[in-house]
Amino acid sequence: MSNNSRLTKTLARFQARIEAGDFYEAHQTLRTIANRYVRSKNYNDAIDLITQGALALLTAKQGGSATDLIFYLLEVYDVAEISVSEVSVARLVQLLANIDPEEPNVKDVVTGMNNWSIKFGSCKYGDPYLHAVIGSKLADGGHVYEAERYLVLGTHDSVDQYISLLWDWYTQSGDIKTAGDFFSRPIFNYLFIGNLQNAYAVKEKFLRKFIEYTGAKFETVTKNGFEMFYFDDYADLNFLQLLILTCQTKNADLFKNLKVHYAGSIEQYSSQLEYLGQEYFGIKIQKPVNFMQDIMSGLLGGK
Amino acid sequence: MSTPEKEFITKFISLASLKTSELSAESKKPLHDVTNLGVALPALRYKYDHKRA
Repeated sequence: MSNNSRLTKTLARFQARIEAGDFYEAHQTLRTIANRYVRSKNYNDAIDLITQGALALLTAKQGGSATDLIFYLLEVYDVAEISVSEVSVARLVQLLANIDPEEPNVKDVVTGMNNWSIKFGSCKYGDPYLHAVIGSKLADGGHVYEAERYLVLGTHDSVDQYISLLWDWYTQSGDIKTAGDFFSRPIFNYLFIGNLQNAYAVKEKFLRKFIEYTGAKFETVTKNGFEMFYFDDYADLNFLQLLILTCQTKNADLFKNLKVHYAGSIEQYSSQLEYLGQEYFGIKIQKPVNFMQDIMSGLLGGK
Repeated sequence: MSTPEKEFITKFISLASLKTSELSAESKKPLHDVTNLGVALPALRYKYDHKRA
């Protein structure tokens, strides 16, 4: 009997047990057989078997057993040194799509997946396609800060998801004056990673929603291709739009000028601005001076 | 009618857009080249309830 028909038979038996409600037995048997494949280095069959098994358990709402198999799949990925590719990512995406966002260990599952994509891919923080799916799953489960982190490093589609997450959050806050708290997050996060395109997309989309929702008074100010919404009552929203333009110029004088004008209202952004100063304008972060060390090195003739 | 802030903005934008910018408005660093995520943003005071979304 060829491997593949054996695999098909195993899966059929597994499926029958799931349908009969024998989840524990189905799970254990599948693990035993998968183990055998792994020991004989037949990784492809092991991967197929575990994936199909996890999917069947997810469909049967057996989150605990299913996530156990997903962790096992990641172990096999690791042993077999499966690299990040369309196929290897798609398999994880399919599993993620079927996972209940309320699953108690969903955060561990996505961390495991992302760690694999870091180890066997080319991005320091993991694969963007995987991030896009992880981000929306975490958002559905209410893990907002974790979702945010993945969406920032996601695909082009993640921008809209990030905006809609922030928008829901903002409208839930029940206080329209807090717009800057929400708007500032994607602006800073995208500027931090050098993504001006997304920063501008957020400016456009979030602020249009804001204007429509609140009816805030605004004027459009346009000059040489740059366009912004000027708000009478929201200095922070004005500042953040100007900040994108300023980073784009990489002109340190403009950056200083902007900070001086808004000094009063941007105290809460000091560490963010310090970082941007360094990244875009070459302004070195001053380390706190250690007087004692200076005196000692002075005495000893050092520098 | 123009407020000091509005005046500042108009001047600032003129100045900032005088020359071609170093970076294009469409620019983005490829994620392969991202080696730093900046500083962690503080948590917000408002709780998000995904059941209401």
